[in-house]
Amino acid sequence: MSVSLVKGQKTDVTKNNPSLQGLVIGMGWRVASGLEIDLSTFLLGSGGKVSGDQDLIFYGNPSGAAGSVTLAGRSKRTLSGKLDHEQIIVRIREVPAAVERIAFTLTIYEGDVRRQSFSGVEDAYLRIADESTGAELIRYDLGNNFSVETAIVVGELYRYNGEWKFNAIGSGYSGGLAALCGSYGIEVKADAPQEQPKPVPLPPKPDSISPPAPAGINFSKISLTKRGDVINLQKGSGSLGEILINLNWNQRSSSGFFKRSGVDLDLGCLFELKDGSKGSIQALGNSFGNLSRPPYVALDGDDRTGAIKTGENLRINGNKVAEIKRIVVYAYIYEGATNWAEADGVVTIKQSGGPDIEVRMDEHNNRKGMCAIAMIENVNDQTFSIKRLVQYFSGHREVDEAYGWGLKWVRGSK
Amino acid sequence: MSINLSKGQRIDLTKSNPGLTRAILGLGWDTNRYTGGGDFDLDASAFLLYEDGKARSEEDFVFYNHLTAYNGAVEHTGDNRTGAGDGDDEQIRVDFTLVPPQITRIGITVTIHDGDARRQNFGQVSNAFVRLVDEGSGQEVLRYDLGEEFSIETAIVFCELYRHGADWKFQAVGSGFSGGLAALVRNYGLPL
Repeated sequence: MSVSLVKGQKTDVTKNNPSLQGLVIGMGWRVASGLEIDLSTFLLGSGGKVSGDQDLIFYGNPSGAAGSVTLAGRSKRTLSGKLDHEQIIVRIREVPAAVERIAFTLTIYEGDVRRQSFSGVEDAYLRIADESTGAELIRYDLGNNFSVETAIVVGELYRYNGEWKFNAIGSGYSGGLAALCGSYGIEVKADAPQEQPKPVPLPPKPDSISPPAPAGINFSKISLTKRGDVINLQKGSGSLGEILINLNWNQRSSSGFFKRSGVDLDLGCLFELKDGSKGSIQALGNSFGNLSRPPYVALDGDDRTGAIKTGENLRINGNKVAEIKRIVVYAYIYEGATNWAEADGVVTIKQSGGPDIEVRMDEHNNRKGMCAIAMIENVNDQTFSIKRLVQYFSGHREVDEAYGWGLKWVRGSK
Repeated sequence: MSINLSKGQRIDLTKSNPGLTRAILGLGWDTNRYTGGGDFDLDASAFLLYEDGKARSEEDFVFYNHLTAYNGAVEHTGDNRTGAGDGDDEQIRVDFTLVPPQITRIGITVTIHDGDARRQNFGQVSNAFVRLVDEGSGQEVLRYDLGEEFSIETAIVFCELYRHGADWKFQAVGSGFSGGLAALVRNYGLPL
């Protein structure tokens, strides 16, 4: 019976399991084409640092800790009917005492250069199986919760009171492998490429890093391009899960005097629940909502520095679809010129198990500071339909009136 | 000489420290510093409890929006939004001479603000501690390091101060709850 972990959770590995000798750490993920993921394992001593370069285990240095930690490479095994993208064998009783933590990380190769991040990686997981029986002991599904990160610490095995435990971490850095190495005490020369060096000749990669997608999974995005276009979210075998609505806009450094476009878009929504309760969720007025309690919609923290290049995220708890009536997702310009053309906003709706749905805000109206982007409506308490709106309004009150919400509006500030 | 306590341990405060009338409870923590995922905002609170272990009114609940109770008997020194830096992140001061006699126990808690929505929990918080300093002498009397046993909790009762006869004692509690500050407020008998 496998234990399923959530982010931050810690669990015993060897305690209550004295016969455990070898662990298979298996990891997998789904990516769009052109995104290359590398697994790196760090052997950490006191203070959470490596003792030297040999403590970084990757395909160029596939074994360490006196042979107790080894990349499986071609000798990967099918466990519980599934083959992982990568497997690492940890002979847990043979790990030298100096190694206190073993951190399993994923990085995107040249993520910064190619402008790729873990927001483009889906269904990443880590599982721990007993090497001798093949039984899965622990599983951690990372979910689609990443934004800027190009390097993720998925989890760590660590010593505690003479036993080994596992901590599901699921957090990372935007600086790729270099940032990760820095945090673990491996120096990356400033002149060196910012990513994992891939010098020639290299040992051949044990397996294709980005295996072809299994048939039936569509990585392409669906675009809703005309007003009124509607699509239903796909409902797989289980529940809808979490639906992520991402608003991104042009924050590129422009050449010339100004570093940024100067437009700060904010994402928000009006919600109406089946029980009749209504409201808005947005950074303005600090109403961030709640994912686990009504309204089952939540906004991630606002980033006004522009440092987060992947914009803002609104999440809907799809497991509560039956309690949600409808949601209008909107964007508004909080600061900066009302210049939608320059902001070039795009909203991406991500669902687990289905393709991303994209709504581009490409019909511009530069006089009005608010854009209703999409209407999300309950369909038979089973799923949501998503309708493209992209209609511009001068403010919240107008949006409210246009869609018959009936809230009272007062001015606020963040 | 400060005493290190472990979970569950009880110790005399005013009996073995006769001059101790005003105590500063210093609470500290480190949050993992990763990019993305949002900042952590941890909040210390104090619940002033009657004989039945419950608070009676909002006056009995000292937190970032109600910083002082009973004319300064219990005082929160202010919200720290980041937890950055060494030493205490937040402090709660207790003047034992001002605590009303019907208050027999004071629960000191730390909660993660908006933890559920931000997907944050105490599994992502390290080096949490509470220490008690005698405000008169400036000496640290005791310290309780919470260790690493927490994972999915979003609220923790760090310790409780309680009356024992004419004296006050300290118990290292270290109990975790899910549901954040709201769960604690309910647990201690206050309406939300």
